[in-house]
Amino acid sequence: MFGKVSAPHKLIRLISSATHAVPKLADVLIVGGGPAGLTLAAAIKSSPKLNQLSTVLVDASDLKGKVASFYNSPPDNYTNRVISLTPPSRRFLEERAGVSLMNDRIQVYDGLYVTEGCSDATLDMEKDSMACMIEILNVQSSLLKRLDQLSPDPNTFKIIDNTKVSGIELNDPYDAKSWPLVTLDNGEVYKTRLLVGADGFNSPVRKFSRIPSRGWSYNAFGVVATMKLEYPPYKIRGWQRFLPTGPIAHLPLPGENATLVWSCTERLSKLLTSITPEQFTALINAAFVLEDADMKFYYKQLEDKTISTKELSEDINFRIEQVFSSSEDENMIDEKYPPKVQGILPDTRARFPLKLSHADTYCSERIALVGDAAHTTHPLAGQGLNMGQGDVEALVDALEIAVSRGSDIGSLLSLQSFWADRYPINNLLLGMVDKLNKIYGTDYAPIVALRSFGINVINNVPPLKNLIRDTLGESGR
Amino acid sequence: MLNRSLKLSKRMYHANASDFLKPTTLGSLVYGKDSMQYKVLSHAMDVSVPIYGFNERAIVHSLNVLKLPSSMLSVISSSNPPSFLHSSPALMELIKFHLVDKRYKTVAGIDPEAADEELPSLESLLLKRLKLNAPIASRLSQVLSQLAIPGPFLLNNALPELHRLSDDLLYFSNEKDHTDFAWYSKRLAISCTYVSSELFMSQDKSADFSQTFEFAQEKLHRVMKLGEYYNNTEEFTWYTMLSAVNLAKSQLARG
Amino acid sequence: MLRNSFPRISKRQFSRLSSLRATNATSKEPTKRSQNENRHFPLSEAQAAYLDRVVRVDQAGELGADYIYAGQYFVLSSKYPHLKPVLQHMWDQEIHHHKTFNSLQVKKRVRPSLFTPIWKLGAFVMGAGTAVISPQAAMACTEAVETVIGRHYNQQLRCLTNQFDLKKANGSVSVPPEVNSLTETIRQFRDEELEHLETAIEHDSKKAVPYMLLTEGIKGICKAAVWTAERI
Repeated sequence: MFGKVSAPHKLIRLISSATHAVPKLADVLIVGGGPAGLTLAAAIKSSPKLNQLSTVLVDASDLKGKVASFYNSPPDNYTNRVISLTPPSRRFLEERAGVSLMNDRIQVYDGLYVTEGCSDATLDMEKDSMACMIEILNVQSSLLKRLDQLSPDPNTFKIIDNTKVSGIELNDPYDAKSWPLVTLDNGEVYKTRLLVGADGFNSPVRKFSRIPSRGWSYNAFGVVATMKLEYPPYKIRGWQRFLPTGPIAHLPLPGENATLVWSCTERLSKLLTSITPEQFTALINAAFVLEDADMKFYYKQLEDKTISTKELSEDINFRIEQVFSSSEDENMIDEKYPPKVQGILPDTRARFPLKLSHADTYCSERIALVGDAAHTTHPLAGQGLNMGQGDVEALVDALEIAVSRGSDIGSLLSLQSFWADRYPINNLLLGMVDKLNKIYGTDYAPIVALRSFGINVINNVPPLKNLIRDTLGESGR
Repeated sequence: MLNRSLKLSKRMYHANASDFLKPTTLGSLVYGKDSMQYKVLSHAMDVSVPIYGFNERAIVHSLNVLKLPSSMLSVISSSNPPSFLHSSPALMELIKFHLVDKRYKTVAGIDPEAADEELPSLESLLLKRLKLNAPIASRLSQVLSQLAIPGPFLLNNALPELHRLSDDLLYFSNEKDHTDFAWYSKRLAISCTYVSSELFMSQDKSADFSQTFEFAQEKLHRVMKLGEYYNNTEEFTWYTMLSAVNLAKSQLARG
Repeated sequence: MLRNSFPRISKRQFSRLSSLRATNATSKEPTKRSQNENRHFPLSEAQAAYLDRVVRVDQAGELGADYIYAGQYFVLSSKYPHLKPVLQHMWDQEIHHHKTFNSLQVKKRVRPSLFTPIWKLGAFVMGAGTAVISPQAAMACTEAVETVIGRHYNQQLRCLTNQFDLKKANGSVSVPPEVNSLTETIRQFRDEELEHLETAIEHDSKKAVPYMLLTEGIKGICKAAVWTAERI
């Protein structure tokens, strides 16, 4: 276990031409231009107390070109990287980072309808505007637009894209409080007062700072896709069903669009990404209605290639009709099941590994970690991005206090309150999501019975239900 | 007795084969493949046991076929002390031979140094070992009942041989081996799987023992799951413990 | 002492008929003869058992060291940034040691110590616990642990260099290469452990309060652990 956290650091410490170039100075250097990194940059530049800090953001992707152009000329179809944004995160983005998101590509939804594959236990959480579904590119490009509009003095703000960090070292290796020297692969060297790692799960900044991170891989994958529905949903809400292989979620996008997150075993994820789009569509429809035994039968048939696409969809349609016609109340069908999926958009199927990780601390001298660099979680509760937004908000608060007190923004003293604010809530959310996943990850009968009982209790005791709903909706803020 | 039971743990260090002369004996047997005993016992296993079952008559039959004097019987039995509980020392040698020889045959020709993709899976090795039992399946219950008799033979031969079998199956398969407590649990799990599958096989009437193989696969899958649970629990306990400390530290840091 | 038990199968000599003994593989395959000439006679039971023990106890010891440093680092890294690189350096070395013995254990098919979960927990608590008292106490803990480990490695080196002269098929006597490489590994690790010992003293381990109680207590615990890990 400890072996994992101590990946070789030597690579990062190796410095090639670093010592030759004259380092430029920065107050804040943000590594990573994902939602967390860009939000931090926008929030700093929008804050009257902080906008004088010279800020540099480094990212490996084509931020100013490809990502920024999304805002002015978005594609007709929806992209597959969609996340759930809770009201506090949205408020923070709009009010403190001053962003105007592309509202026509956002879908607000009014609750979650949670079922499971092994019993009839149901959790129906209703709340107007519980959260909204938004494309990650929407968040990123809106933030870039905002930063562009702020048109900050190029001496105090700069985005360096298409560039990787090739090395980090301390200015004085024997003084832990000295400023970090960051070498970029375009040859530039920055000496920064505060280095922020918003650089994702394999964070080079975290590795440089030697902050241990703990956790495990779920040995599972998330399969995402953008779906076209046969008709717009009757109720705009998210549907989630816990199958023994992992939870599958159907979440609304504007109009007849929806997005899918299907967490499953590695084997199943390979199958799901290799079958034809028609077969995949049929399985999605089946997964929300049919029994686990039926699903297993289809997986087997598909793996052995003993079923044709036509047979599969006919069989699935037949069985779904069977379930629907045995339902007592016709109206309940729209209530209980998500709208039928017509097909998936081409090239939107993708899979990614799921893991849990949590850094021991989010800050050390001159280092702060936000977002996935500090913690990664299972996507089943849609909390990943929101936890990152919470981190950024707390970090901005901590920096504002430090600046108004006139203290060094890179000192551990200034940063510690950020860690103290965020660790408990992130720990709670990570733990909750992990336990939910564990409880639902089994088809062991006694546990199924217990959890069904528990879910029914929760569903029938409004205060309890609201507590859960609000924790999810507010990301614990 | 207690001292002897520690044999289970002894002699597990495996030296680099290429630096040493090949041992002249096969595993825990006192003779090698070129010996007379080997010739007689393997003939007995191949030819006589399917006819006569596991008993002295099978060995005598082989001696007759091979035109050897019946005094060879006492040679064969020489490494086993006479026991009240077991039928005859020669028979015990035949059973020992059956266990050791089949274990070597299971992993013969596999190079454990090869890349993981080239190594067989644990499941396939387990099934291979069970398949080697096929010609004598109807006689398996005789072997199992002899092996189950509590006494020195169980401690000195049966259990160590079972352990060596699980150890070999793991070592020669692409299954990940462990450096901690899981080392024990995994071997125990495989041993349990093997013994229960053999019991199942002795009663199995299905064609080609398909039910036995199904049973073994399912059982193996289940016990490996259990091992996974243990590892996950250990991992989870550490995580929870340390994050509780981190939580406390984070609040103290606010100070 | 180990050489005395050389003939590998010494039991039940009497009842075995020498004419029926397995014929030597070398005589049957003349093509392999030259290759075989250069090979050693197998290790005696006692020698193999000794190597078995060495790998097991060293693996358990390095596991303990790894977790002790993990515990110290966990407590000290955020509070005493100046100690971070020192601890990290020592910890990295211990991780390397631990990995080396892990792979030896798997490759040589040696049974690990049964009590690994206890070693893990105990070592982590020992590291974290002394670190909570004070950084000096943590260094005193390092000093005590490395003293015991260093001494133990020295004992092993003595035995490995004295007791493993094996005869080859061609009559010459030498130490098998794998024993040599094990000796080299242990020698290198011992030197590094003694380096840690010096580092600990440089970082004021002697100023720990209560020094005697801590070091002697920890030495006692380590010796007991070594004794147990060798056997169980």
